[in-house]
Amino acid sequence: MTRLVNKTQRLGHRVVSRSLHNSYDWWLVAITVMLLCIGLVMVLSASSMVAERITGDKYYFFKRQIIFAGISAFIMWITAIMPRSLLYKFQYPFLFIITVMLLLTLTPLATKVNGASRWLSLGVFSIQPLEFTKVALALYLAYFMSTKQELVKTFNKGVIPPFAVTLILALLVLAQPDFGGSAILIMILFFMCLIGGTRFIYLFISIAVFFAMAGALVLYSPYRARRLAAFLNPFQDAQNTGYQLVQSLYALGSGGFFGTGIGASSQKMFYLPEAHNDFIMSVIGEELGFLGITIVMGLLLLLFIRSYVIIINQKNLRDRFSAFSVTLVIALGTILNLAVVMGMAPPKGVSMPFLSYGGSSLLATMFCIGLLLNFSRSVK
Amino acid sequence: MFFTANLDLMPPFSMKWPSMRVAVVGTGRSGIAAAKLLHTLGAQVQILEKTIENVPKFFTEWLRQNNCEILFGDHNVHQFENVDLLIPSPGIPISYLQQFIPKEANIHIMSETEFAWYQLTDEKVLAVTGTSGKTTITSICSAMLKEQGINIFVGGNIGTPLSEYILNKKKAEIVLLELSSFQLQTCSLFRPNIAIFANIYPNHLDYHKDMDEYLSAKIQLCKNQNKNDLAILKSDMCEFVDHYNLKARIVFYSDRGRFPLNHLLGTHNRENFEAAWLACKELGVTENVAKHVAATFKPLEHRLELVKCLHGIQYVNDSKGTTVDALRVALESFEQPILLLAGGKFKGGDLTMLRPLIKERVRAVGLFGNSRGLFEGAWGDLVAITWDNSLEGAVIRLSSLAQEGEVILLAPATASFDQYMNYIERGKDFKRIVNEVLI
Repeated sequence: MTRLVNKTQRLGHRVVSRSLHNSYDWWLVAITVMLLCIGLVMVLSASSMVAERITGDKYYFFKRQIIFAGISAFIMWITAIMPRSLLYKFQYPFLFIITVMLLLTLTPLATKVNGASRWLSLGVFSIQPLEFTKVALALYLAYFMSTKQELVKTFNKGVIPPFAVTLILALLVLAQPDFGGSAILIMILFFMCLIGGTRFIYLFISIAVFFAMAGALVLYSPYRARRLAAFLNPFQDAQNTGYQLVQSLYALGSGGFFGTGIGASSQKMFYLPEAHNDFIMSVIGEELGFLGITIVMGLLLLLFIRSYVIIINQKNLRDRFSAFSVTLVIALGTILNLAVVMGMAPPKGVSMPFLSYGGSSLLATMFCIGLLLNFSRSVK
Repeated sequence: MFFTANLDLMPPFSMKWPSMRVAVVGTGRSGIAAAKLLHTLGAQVQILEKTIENVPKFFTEWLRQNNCEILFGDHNVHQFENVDLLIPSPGIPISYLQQFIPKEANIHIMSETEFAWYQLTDEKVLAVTGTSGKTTITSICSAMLKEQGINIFVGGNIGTPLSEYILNKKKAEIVLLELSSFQLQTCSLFRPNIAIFANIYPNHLDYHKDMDEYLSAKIQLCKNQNKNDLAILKSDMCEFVDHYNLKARIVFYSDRGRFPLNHLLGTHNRENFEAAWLACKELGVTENVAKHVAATFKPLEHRLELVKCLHGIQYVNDSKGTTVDALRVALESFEQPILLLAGGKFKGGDLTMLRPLIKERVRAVGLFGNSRGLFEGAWGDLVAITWDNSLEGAVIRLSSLAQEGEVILLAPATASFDQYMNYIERGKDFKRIVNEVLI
């Protein structure tokens, strides 16, 4: 855990830094704001024609996204300025509420769409518990790994609790059914165990068990088996599965350097309630071109760089693990969405942080950023 | 219907057609148009068709040229495995298709109309549905709008699929659609600017599970409308508004006798005209134009169509009257005594409901084709009923019985499929008999 800061620089800034001891990572704030703005513009561009068709109001989705952005910016701010001890106090209640929400998705209270019930309707808007589950689980695992370091190497007290919690949540999500969602939860567990120091043997065994169970699930349903086979061997059925990869890459590159212009691809949009993928990145590629994609990827990269700085500068182990865990959530979302868009992962309906339309995803992401900003106070 | 159109849901909606794999089931006119439009949009299309013979030659050619896949034979689960979206032909019962769709597959079913509707830009949409009267209302609207000089597209159940309009790229100001319950059943977000509801009668019970499903399919027309849209409903439909929580601006219509109709017979047609007028008024049609259309509009073939007046007897062709309620409407259209021609493939409904009308207005019933027992059982004690094997026999028999000033009405209250290809053929046969056989 070496400090990146130069000793002489520190001495020179001592006077300044004392008065700014509560300084946040303004780079992170700036990046977040820029990504949010790009996201809002893209939502407007992508949705205006569809919105007009469906509701008669071009700005229907845009207005809602502005509201979501406003609320989540507020959440980000609150989370950033709150005393950390207070935030940590809410951990178990948060986890409990999430579990209750997940249970509710299995009851008739949930909104069923195409046979899947991933949403809870609250009148004017709906929430998707999965988005918050990811954060709750990540933070819980950070707590466990950091505070129970001495137990982590053991099985009974070090492996079972985190695995059990993850498994319960993953099964609840699986029951919706949401295979992609439960897979993400498992991935969070895996990475947190990796940095937490769980014995490799336990990790290997659990990975093996996981693949065995996943394999059983897949074989149990011939449909899923076929989809997996087609995905794993894209050239076998180039007409079917290779097609999507080609199409995505084409769309990513079809915008030329500057893109076809904002709003240009909106004719091709339509509304699907339970979409398989979220192609906002390919919309960006088409409308904003190579330049646009580069800027967005650049911003995301900068975001992860800032997160890295924040993480390694945490003195407190729990803080460090928590900062890592929320970064992990955002990173997983980003990578998985891009992987789907590029045809490298089976369609799993993962939304792109900051850029996809949706309140739950945005709220959860901004909450993570708020936490990172909170931790950034301790940097330097 | 198959998904609650809850816009509060926050799905990742940035879906693009090029990323979709779509299965089109059935190679009827709407299926073919949908396939072509999907291909134009860049989606990957897969056609499913049960019988090879049903596929038109030009379409097979097109498929070959565009490298699109077509799968023949009975449907099975494998056909739907790699599919994101399903566009079925309106004639296929969804409950039948659903048994082949794996539950985990998360396949969305969308009607061809709604699919094409997404491609509209700023056209205003006027949609008409109902058990009977929808084609008449649509035709009246079409006549009024055209007379007013407005550029329109007329399609849907009445003939041209909306996808063809999109493909032809000849832009209209107003899109006029006649929609059947089959098409509406697979619509979820479809939202017309103006909706006209003709009426609801028990119909197609051989297709829809029951009246509830039929009703919920029909009401889909108005479900997504908001307060800026207009819904024109029959005056006896007030309870629907609350029951289905309709948010559109509602106008109820009834026969006001506003415009005298020269060629259209019956109260129901006056109501149809009123409904059409209320809609077209919104779209810029003036009263003068409406008056002119009222005076000149001729009924559609096989719908209470006066074929000939022979020896003072009116021969009226209502072969389109395939339901009990259509028969009721037909019977109510005439003050003179009626000799009724009925019989064929019964679709459901209660014949005994018509007993008062039969007693009051029908002097004799000449049955032909199937369902003889049903009719005789319902009305046998009220009126003289005869049966002939064919329509020709029945017509000849009734024409010898009829007296001056009476009406011989072909309103079979059944489908024609026992003896004819469709109601059109039955109507044509009737006209042939009246024009060529009778003297």
